Amino acid sequence: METNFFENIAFQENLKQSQVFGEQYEVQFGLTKGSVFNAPTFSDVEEIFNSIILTYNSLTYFQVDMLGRIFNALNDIRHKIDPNRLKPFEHYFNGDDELLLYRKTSNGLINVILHPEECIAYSFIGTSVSDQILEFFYGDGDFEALAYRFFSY
Amino acid sequence: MQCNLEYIPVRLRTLDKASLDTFSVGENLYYRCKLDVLENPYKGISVAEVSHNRSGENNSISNAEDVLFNVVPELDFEKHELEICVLEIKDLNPESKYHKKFPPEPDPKIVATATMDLLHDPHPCMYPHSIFRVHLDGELITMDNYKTTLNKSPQIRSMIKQELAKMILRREVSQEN
Repeated sequence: METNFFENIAFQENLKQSQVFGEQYEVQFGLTKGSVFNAPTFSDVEEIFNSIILTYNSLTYFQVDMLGRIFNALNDIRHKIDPNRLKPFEHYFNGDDELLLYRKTSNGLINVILHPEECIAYSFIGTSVSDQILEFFYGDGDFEALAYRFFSY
Repeated sequence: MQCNLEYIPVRLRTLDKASLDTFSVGENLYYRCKLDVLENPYKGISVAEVSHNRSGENNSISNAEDVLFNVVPELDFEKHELEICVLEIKDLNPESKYHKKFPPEPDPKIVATATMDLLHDPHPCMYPHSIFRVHLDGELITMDNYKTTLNKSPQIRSMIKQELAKMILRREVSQEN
């Protein structure tokens, strides 16, 4: 069943404002430990971007900037090309201060790793032995290509 | 140095046993980690001194469960409550070792170079203990200098993480692939 992720976020944000039960709602929605999405359906790219920014308050300027460029590319794909290209993904902020956007499919694991500075890594580790990709994107990189790759497996 | 942890079986203690220089194809490495890391190794894998236990041929040195023993006296428990990931060694170099260079070929955008080696590193309470040891431009990477060394080269860090992530996802160690 398709759910409207944008509406869900708005609903959750309202519930979290509750003085009495706000904390319990945060736990209930799993928003305190990083993995915010549980297989969302894309409804509004901008809201997801905002949700990531609000969830991880130690992102560097570089990471926020790069995340913005990736999400602009996602928005372009959604509006101008094909909204069905976008698929559910999850995100996580690890102990090395790397922001991960990732998807796990039957073909393998795809990570976009936003380092605190300098570059972004695109990683694919496939299920078959020779199937792996590790590429680096810099500030002047082709973010539309990166976005396509993220959804290509 | 002696092992003073009474719950560690004698068979796992190093005592007077020498470390072994080589590994065997078909031998297993046992790695303990959180479930999250099995799902996506990039979530939690560290590049500094990644510890495993080696099995020896036909589990002659240790079995999978042994990797859960706590060998840090300061921690007040006997076993870690973590998942066990079993990695099979698929191939090694002609010296029966695992040794990789990052990047494999010179890259003008990456100024540093690193190496990663699999080494048998017996602990007084855990003879099977082995590690993946990383050197960056010749300097040994440890938990203490990690932030000031490898964090300065995100490309190298990603390359090594990619290698370790591949091992965990495919449950194998390969010199070739």
